[in-house]
Amino acid sequence: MQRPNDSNDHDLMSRCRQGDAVAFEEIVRRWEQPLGRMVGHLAGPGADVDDLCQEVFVRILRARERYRPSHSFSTWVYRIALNVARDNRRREVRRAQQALHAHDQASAAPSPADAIEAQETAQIVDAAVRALPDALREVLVLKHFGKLSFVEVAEATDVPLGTVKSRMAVALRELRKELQRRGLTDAG
Amino acid sequence: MRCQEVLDQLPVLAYNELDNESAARCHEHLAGCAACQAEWKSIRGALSLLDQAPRRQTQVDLAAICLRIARQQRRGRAVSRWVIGASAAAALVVGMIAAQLLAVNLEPGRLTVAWSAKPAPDAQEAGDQATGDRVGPLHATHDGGSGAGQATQPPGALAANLQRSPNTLVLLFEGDQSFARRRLRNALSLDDDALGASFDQAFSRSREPERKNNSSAEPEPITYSGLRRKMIEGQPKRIPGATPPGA
Repeated sequence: MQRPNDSNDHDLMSRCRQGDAVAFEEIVRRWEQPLGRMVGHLAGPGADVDDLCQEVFVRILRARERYRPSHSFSTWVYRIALNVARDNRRREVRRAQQALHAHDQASAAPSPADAIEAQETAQIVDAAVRALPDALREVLVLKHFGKLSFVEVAEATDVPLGTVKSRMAVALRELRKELQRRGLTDAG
Repeated sequence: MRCQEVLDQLPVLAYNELDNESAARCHEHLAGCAACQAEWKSIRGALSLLDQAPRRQTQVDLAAICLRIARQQRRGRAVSRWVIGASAAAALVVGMIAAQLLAVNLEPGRLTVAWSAKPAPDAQEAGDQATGDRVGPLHATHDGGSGAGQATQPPGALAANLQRSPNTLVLLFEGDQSFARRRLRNALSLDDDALGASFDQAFSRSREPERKNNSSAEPEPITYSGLRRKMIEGQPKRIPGATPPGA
């Protein structure tokens, strides 16, 4: 996944703050794919990624006056996306709890059909990433799919740099375990 | 360098974010330590598998962004003039790309609507054959310019006008009215039948000036206050304490 150029984004955001609608469209077109991929990994399994991306851009638009050109645009955007994904996860947890109350017990086990479909490597990797605890997954996704530096990940997550590095190490270790548990042994 | 130090650095090393000196020391240790070397290979294997994660295509709907903002603003926030321009530009772009989408924005006393037209069946068929995705005609009218009447413009000219005066552009529809009305009704969440019927009447009336004097007069823009007034006028009067008809 390509990460758009920050200096161009600064220019676009500056025009956007002055009311240039075309600049905002350009931002959307430049960032919809990187954000979509990242939000897809951060949000819950049933999330409507397109809808969440729209929410990210709504928040970007509403927060445009608070954007500081001295900061990295990508870090700012991913921080907004992270918050949207977190909000969505909280909503999903609430919905799941309500559904549990309504239906007493709901089985979370994947159906045999799902298991067969999940033989695809991409799906296994996706499932392994989703299986990581939130704090680890956020660091891994921002770092690997968001292409942020460790310093930028620390800024986006509001976590000390040392913690980010150690979480990344743990995330990779847990990811390998998940991949192996799901039958992908190439990781080792 | 001790093994634990190296292991802590491996993720940073994998992303080439270690300084040269530390990276050289790590590689030196890895060359002589089988356990750390195995861990290093394992990390690189996991990262390579991560690159095989699914790549889905995201399609962000610009009109939906504007609509969402408009709805939030309708719930009591101040309306930014900027958004009006954004909605028109968004609808234009979305219309050009995806066709048949709609953007609506509200400001006090005014509703600005922009949407792309569904082409007539024969035109749609021809367009499908030619491009696979076709937009019906879009007409532009400036509501602030002196003597600027309605003019049919190609998308390029429309975009240029949008950039010149994004806050005063109103996009008008020509083509399948029932389609546009349906989309507008849905966008405004007018689920109630009576309210929806009133809206349909208001929508038709708002287009009458355009039909009557198509060449010179500026069509009346659809205003929120006007729509509300017409909807209220179209509703049966409710008298407190009176028995509803048929009750």
